[in-house]
Amino acid sequence: MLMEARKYLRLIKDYFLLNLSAAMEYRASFIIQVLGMALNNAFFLFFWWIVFNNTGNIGNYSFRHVMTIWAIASSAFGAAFILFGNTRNISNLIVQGELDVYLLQPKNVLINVICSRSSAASWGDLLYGFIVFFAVYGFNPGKLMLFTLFVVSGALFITSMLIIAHSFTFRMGNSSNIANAVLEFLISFSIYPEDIFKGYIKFIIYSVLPAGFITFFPLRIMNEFKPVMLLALLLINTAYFITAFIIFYRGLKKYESGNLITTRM
Amino acid sequence: MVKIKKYWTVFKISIQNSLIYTSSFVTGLIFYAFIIFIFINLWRVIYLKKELIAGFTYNQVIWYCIVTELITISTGGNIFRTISNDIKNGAIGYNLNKPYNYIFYNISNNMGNVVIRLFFNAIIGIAMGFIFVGRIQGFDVIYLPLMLICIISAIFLNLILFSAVGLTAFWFEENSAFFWIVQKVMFMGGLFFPLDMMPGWIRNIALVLPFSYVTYAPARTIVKFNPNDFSWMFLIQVTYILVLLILNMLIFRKGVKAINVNGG
Repeated sequence: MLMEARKYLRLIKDYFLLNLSAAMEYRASFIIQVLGMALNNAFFLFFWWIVFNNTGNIGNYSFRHVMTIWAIASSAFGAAFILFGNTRNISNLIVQGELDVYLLQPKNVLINVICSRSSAASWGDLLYGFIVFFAVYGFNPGKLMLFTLFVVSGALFITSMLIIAHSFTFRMGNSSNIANAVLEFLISFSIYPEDIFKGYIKFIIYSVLPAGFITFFPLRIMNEFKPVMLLALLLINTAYFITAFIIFYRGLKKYESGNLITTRM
Repeated sequence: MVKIKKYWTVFKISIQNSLIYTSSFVTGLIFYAFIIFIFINLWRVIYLKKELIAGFTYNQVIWYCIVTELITISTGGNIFRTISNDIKNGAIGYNLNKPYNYIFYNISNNMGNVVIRLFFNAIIGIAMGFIFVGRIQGFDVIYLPLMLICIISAIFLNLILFSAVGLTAFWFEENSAFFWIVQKVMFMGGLFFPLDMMPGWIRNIALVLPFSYVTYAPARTIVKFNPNDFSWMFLIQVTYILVLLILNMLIFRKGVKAINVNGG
């Protein structure tokens, strides 16, 4: 089991290095995309600054709290698409019969698929989150470790949800629109203060669209550290990831190969 | 007259195409409803403490957001992507010898799609507005034609702005970052809240930039109509449309000279 996990981690690391060196081939373009994305996110800071200037706190959320959820969300989405950038492409691969190439390779199909592409602009998201974190908390090793852990768990929540949404394509045709909607909902729910949501929406953000576990729950742990809460978050995170794996592999049994000849360059 | 007629035909064909491929704007429709829902919840909590912020009530802010999001989401970024891709993959070569102006063609072609999306998004937006906050306070239906003119001009201005950004592909292989930034500078133009909520110096800068005339001008015209404000805002909108159209032509002319298309 441990050996298997190490093999997967090595595969993820190798893909990461390969994708990074490919992005560095066009260095100027890479830098423009990274800075552009970081600047793009910075404009939201302006939005919240104006809102808090006019209103004071929003529910129990201060400007500092909103910046923290923004930092976690930005870096988590960045990490998800740097490491698993091809997740967004799963539906197209299924519809066009391009999964064949991955099925023939001696590695785990899902890990192989999701890692085989990386988004250069996502480096801007990752970077921005850490900049905001340091601006809010300064250099605090304990909080930094927690923050990094939340970035990883958030990235896994996002990836799991996208895998599940794209896996519908195995059964009901191209579900990339559903997956795009899931992504938009996850982003929007995780970057606004939790206190603006109530009733059934609160239930949704802690179940079907687990945005609450990406930013709100980690914020509570950052504010008041409780090992039980951290353990709960990691267990829920693992459960979502395993569920995504199971749904993908169940769907894969329905996959019908095309006669398209493709190569991976 | 013949010159305008061909772009009118492109516009009509674009409307027909949009009505056939409806699935493409259904996602946008859901996203629009979702964003309005988020704003309704956000501003509801904010207005628990105050009844008036910068002269706007909760009702007016929600209707303001319904209009600004209606314009920006309906316009989308298709014109930027089409122009960028045409330049990057060389397809622009096929357009150069066609009997139309490339910029006007793209604007008319996108306008059809935008009008359809605007129509359906407006139904959703108006319905949500009525359900959650009721009718616009102080709304006078007599001014509706002027309000619609302001919205259409704002959309036109937005398309021309994005078209200019798309044309940067002549010099930059990866120009998406410019598009994201211009999209976000819209925040400063009053996309999420009226400029009246901003500190005076930022508001003054924002009022000079064209972005305010895409979002703030039409939204304010609808929630707080005032003939004087409408007149100068509309005048600035038209001025920016003309200036940016000329700028588009100049960039395009300069870019075409630099273009190098291989193969066919």
